[in-house]
Amino acid sequence: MRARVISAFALAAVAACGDPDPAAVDGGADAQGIDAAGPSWPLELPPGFPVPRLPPGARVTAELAELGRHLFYDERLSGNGTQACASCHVQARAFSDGLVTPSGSTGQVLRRNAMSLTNVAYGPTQTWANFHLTTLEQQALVPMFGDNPIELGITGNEDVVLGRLRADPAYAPRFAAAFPGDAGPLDLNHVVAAIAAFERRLISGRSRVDRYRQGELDALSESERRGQSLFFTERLECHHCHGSFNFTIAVDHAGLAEPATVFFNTGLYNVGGTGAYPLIDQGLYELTQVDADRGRYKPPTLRNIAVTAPYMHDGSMTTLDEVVRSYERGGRLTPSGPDAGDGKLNPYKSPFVGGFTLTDEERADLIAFLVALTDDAFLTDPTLADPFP
Amino acid sequence: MRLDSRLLLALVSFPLIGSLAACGDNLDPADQPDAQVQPDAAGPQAVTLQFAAKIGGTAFTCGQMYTGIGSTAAAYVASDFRFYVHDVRLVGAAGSVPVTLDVNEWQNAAGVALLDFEDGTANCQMGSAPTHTALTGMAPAGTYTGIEFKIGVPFAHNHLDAATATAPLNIPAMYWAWSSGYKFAKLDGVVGGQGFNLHLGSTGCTAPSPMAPPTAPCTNPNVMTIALAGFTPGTSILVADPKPVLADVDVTTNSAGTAPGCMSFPGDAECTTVLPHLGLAYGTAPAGTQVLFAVE
Repeated sequence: MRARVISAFALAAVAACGDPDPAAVDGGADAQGIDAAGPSWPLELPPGFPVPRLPPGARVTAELAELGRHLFYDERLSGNGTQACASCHVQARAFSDGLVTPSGSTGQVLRRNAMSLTNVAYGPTQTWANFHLTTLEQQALVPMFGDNPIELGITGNEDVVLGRLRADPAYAPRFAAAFPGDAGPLDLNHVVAAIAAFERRLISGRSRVDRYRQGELDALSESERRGQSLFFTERLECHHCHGSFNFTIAVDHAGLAEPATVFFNTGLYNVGGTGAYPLIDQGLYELTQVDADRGRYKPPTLRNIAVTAPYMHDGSMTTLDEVVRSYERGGRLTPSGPDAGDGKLNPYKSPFVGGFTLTDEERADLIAFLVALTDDAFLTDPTLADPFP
Repeated sequence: MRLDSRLLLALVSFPLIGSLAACGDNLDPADQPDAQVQPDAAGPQAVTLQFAAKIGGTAFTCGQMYTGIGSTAAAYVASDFRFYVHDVRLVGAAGSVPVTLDVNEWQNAAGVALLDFEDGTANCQMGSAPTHTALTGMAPAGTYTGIEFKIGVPFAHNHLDAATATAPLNIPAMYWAWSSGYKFAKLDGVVGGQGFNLHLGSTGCTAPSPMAPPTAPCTNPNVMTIALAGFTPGTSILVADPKPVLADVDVTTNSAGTAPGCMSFPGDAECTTVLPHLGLAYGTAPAGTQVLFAVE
């Protein structure tokens, strides 16, 4: 509920500054220039990757994404000039931040773990549990304009933020290249469209697992190959929620008849044996107020999972070993404290989280496979890096 | 990239259709229709083949509880109901003729279709709103009294890359992995808080890795062959009802170390009676008569 309110508020906030047409926010910039709504994709994709679906009106060009890269890393894009998107989305950590939960630009602590932006172009929904946020353009409004929690804190500072960006002469040629035929000046719709275009460039598909699949047979060790086999067994059931080319079944792309929008309760909590999650965060339930939606979150991609610790929507697991053991058990036991309860018995848990038994070697193999999903080229790609000296 | 994959699919589909036309009918294969040329002098007719999903004779609804399921007559809450169909033929006095399925987001050019009865509500958490409950296509003009079809995906299409395959072979929840292919049928339920899922698909597929297609046909293709008499296109309904399929398995228990329910893979005690009731052998259990489909 809270997120929806923020989203609606943010839409209003953007509509109020610079652009008279709120609908234009949804699809990014005005659609002049190249409209890439078709199956074409102007940027290179990893082998075997489908073409992402673009929302109506959105477009991706190298120039637009390059403007977006600068804005993504630019701390002037926060009300008090202290944070950028990149503050919580660090390339070396696959665009996550390594924290349990981050703090916004004014110091307010957020309740959810910063998600990796790996392959967000394929997200049917954005963030952990919100089926209203179906586009990156919509999602960008949450950190930019949300006031509970305050992240970038632009609300009320729109003119200040835009003034800073417009005053920087280096942005003028980037803007002109990104928005051909648009006399400007740069407004927040342009900002959102450009950042979304950059985020659509955050595509990772060149891990050692991918190379092995493409025939490079020494790309995976024996242990990693054993782990790969375990991952795809009916005994472990990992692939029922973490299947597909993106290692999550929550995917969308241009070839799908419709987005695969899914959310699952993995038995992380069962406060008081009622099926509840800690009051601070009940997952999809907050939008629907349906009990069965308690604790339902989007299954994240497992690509680059080794560098995105800590894990889960609240960052409450430190290591992959801890995560795997929770699934082995069929849910996590919280023995004491305010959140005490046995997640294994959560009545709203996905039936696919039934538990299994692993030997120590099998667990090590499985984790080795997960680590092999790390795409080092993605983590170090200079064209995705901070452009500012 | 995308054009290439479509072209490839089209190229692959022609020999397939040819081979389907050639199997199990009394007519000259040369007279069979294909995707390009509509059939015989009498002209083709549009046909709609209506399916229905029921559990114990009551319409399937996401989240609804059905009683009397399995050998212990348990209460079963439905959570998914989807299956792939191909090689659809209508049976008349002169034999059977193929139905050329329309091509849309549910039915591809190779004649593979997904029937989807879940609407993503309640505990159908793996699903989504759209449903598809009838096949549409063209058949030679004539009077038909029976129907034949297969449940599953033919081998030539079963090990495509779901990331780049065309609809309906690109739905993540209906795909196991590259080596094993698609879930031919996904009939899921929850019993006493635990899942009892019936996933039918090919097993014994020898591949270099789970992320590679098999190098030879799978040992257990597990494609169901259905032949039903008393079927009139446009009037009859093909009812899928898993209750008799589950009649001899205790859906309240699951053997340790196996999938929750029966997911076709060898060594799962919960499959021992289930696959034979789908007309398929399983381990040492011989194939029985399929009891999933009936005509109403």
